[in-house]
Parts: sequence; structure tokens; C-alpha cells
Amino acid sequence: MDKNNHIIQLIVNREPTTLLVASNELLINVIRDRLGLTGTKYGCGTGQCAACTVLVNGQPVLGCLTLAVSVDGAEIVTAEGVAAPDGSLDPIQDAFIGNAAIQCGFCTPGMILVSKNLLESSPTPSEDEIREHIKGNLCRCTGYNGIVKAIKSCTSEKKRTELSTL
Amino acid sequence: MNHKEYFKPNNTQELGQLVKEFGSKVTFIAGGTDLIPQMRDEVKSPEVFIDISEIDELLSIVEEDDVISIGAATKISEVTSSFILITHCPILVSAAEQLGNILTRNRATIGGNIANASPCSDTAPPLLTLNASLVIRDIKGEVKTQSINDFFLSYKKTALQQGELITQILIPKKSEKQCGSFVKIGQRNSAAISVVSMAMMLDMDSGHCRQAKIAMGGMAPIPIRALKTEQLLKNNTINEALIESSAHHLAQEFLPISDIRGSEEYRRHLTAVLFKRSINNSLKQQGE
Repeated sequence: MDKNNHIIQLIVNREPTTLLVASNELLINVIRDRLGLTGTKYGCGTGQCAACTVLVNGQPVLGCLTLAVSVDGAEIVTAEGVAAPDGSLDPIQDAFIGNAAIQCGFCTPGMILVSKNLLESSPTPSEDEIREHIKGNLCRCTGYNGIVKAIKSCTSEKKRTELSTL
Repeated sequence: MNHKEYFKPNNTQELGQLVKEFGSKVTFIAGGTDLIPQMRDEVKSPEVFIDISEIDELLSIVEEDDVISIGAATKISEVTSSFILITHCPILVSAAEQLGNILTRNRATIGGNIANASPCSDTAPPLLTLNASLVIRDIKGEVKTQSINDFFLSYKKTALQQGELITQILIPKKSEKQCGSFVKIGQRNSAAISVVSMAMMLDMDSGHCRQAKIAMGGMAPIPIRALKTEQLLKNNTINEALIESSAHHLAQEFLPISDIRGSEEYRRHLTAVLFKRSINNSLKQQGE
């Protein structure tokens, strides 16, 4: 095996995958072209729009700026991995649908992932904290208010769930 | 992008062997958030990547008696959440919080930001005001320390020779209480490349400025200290008149370029605005 090509192992949306990748192959191309998971979008390709957001070991990163070989061994979650294995939607997905947070849908995969990441680390964020957290993801359609509303609605949901289990 | 080789050493021994074998062709990579765009633009064309992001010796933030040591491969997201840095170098944390967006901060590293040496680097101005030094590993594996004040030579050119690597950033601990601020202005409110940025550290004795350190991004080919304006503040009482005249002087201290992000005139205007903003932010910390 030369050092231009590498066998890497990833867990993508809970499924173990083994791939042969070139040293300079980008994670976004592996996800979209090699694995056929086109939920992750290719926007600017230069790290400025965050349409290519994926979770690597729980952390949102830019797929267009990450070499696939550098995340060997990682757990990757893409938009397709947000719903439960039985297909039922995650509360954040329902919230996006119910709050006019989706128009063309291009920013949505990235927005959903960073929203999930926010709610996991901070279940009751303020509006400022929400806006701060999604700042890196560009949306050209909605004006962001629907997205913020959707995320806010999940914080109440979680609170209600926690209170109901006391 | 053409054929490349990639290695990811686990420790400095493995790193040493790789540098020995490939020295003249090596490009170090950690987060890749600057390098990959540069490769796409064909500004850089690495032949051999050495990924340093998992070398233990480059990963910790340690507080010692006189100095804070930050591993060069420390992610910007780790800088923002480090208790040691929040306590001892809040200006660096503030700059790190304003760097890129959460996605870049989860990959980008402090060493990478310094070595990339953009004139708009967000970590460089604070590090200049903190009198930081860089621990550099040379191609033979020997280690030297260099003040960050001597590190940036000209546009995107640093004192690093081919095959050399920043391993740690050292920040001297100060016994006197200082106040400071980092502000930047860009064309968007996240992932913004600074049009102008300013780091300021003040050593105050109730209204009297004993010493000032001011460093700017976006105003010169390199991140740079405003030595002349620092002298205007030194050993003076800070009042409205001094703030006004210093802001004016600072706006004239450098010769910034005009580019798509801002004209020379606009940058000078921003400099005066940021100076007043910074100094007021800094003094507020004191309860002035």
C-alpha cells in the first residue's frame, strides 16, 4: 500500500464502513459520491456557507475542508442519520417542518445538525445563544427567524419532557 | 489537486522520522481550514502531508509558575473553553471566540493560525500584546524559542524554515492586573476575515496608564504592534483628549492597502473607531 491511498474505517449514521481513499480526497466527496449520501450539500466549497456540515465524533465540521483520511476511525452523522433507525423524525426535524424553517432546503441538513449539536450541549439556550450557534450556516431563503423559532420550540419540548418525568 | 502522500504520526518520535525522510517536501496539516482552500486555489501544492493533530506533545494547555504553555495543535474550540486561558489570557479567548464559526473552530488550531500568518490572523494580535513566544522544532529535531514579535517577516512569510514546526505557544504570566480587549470588524458577523482588528492590553493604575500594548490585523502585510501609539499612552492619564488624539495618531501609524474588503481610507477610519471602542471596553473591565 503506498501512502497516496488509505484504507479508512468510519461509522456513518451508525453503520460501519470501510473505504479506500486518496490522501487528498475530501470528506464531503466521500459522503456524497462514494457513499451516495447526498443529504449533505456542496455549497461554496470554500468553508464559508456551511451547507456541507457533518458531525464528526459529535462535533459539527465542514465536510468541504476535511480530508477523509484525517477522520479515520470517526463516527460521522449526516442529515440522513438524524431520524431514528425506524424512520421516525427527530423532534428538531418536526420542529423545522412545523415552523416554516425550510424553503429551498439547501441549508437545512447543516442547520439541523448544528441545531442538534446545540440542544445536546445546551438544552435550554437563549435566543442569542441560538443565533450565535447557527451563525456559521448561511440561509438565503428564510431570514433565519423560522429556524430560530424551530430550535426554540425544541427547548420547551425538552423542558416539558424533563418536568413530566419528575 | 494532484497525487499526495499523507502520514499521521502519533508522537514526536514518529514525527521526527517522517521529517527526516521527507523534510524538503513536507507540509504540516492539522485542521486544514486554511490549507485546503489554498490548495483549491492552487496557492499551495503540498506533496507530503504530515498531520500533526494527534501528537500528544502538541495538545495540552499547561499552567506553570511563570508561563502558560499551549500546544500548537490545540483546537480553537479548545482555546475558547480552557479554564486556564479564560483565567489568564481572556483576550486570547475573546479572539478565538470571534475566529471563523463553530465549524472552523472545531478543526482549526492555534499553531495553524499563527503559521498561516495571514495579516488578518485573529490569534496573532492578542499574542503580540501578550508577548508570546513560539517553541519551534527544527528539521533536525532541535528546539528553539522565538518571540512572536520577530516571527512575522513579511506578507504571509514567517521565520519558519522548510520542515520546521511550531510545537508550543508560551505566554508569560503577569503579576500585575491588566485589562484588555480584542475587536474585529468584518463583512459578516461570522466566518469574517477581518478588515481591521485590534488587540489591546493595558497596565492601569487607576486612570493612569503605566503601559499599553496595541496590535493590529488588516493594517499591514503582517499582524503588527502599534509601537508609536503605545508610547503616546504610556505613563499618561487616560482622558477624552488623549483617547481622541491617540485614535487619530493610530489611524496614521500604518499604511494599509486598499482591497476588495476595504479601502485605505476605510481602514484608517475603522482604526480610530476600534481604538476608542477597545480602550473603553478595556477601561470598563477596571471599573473605571
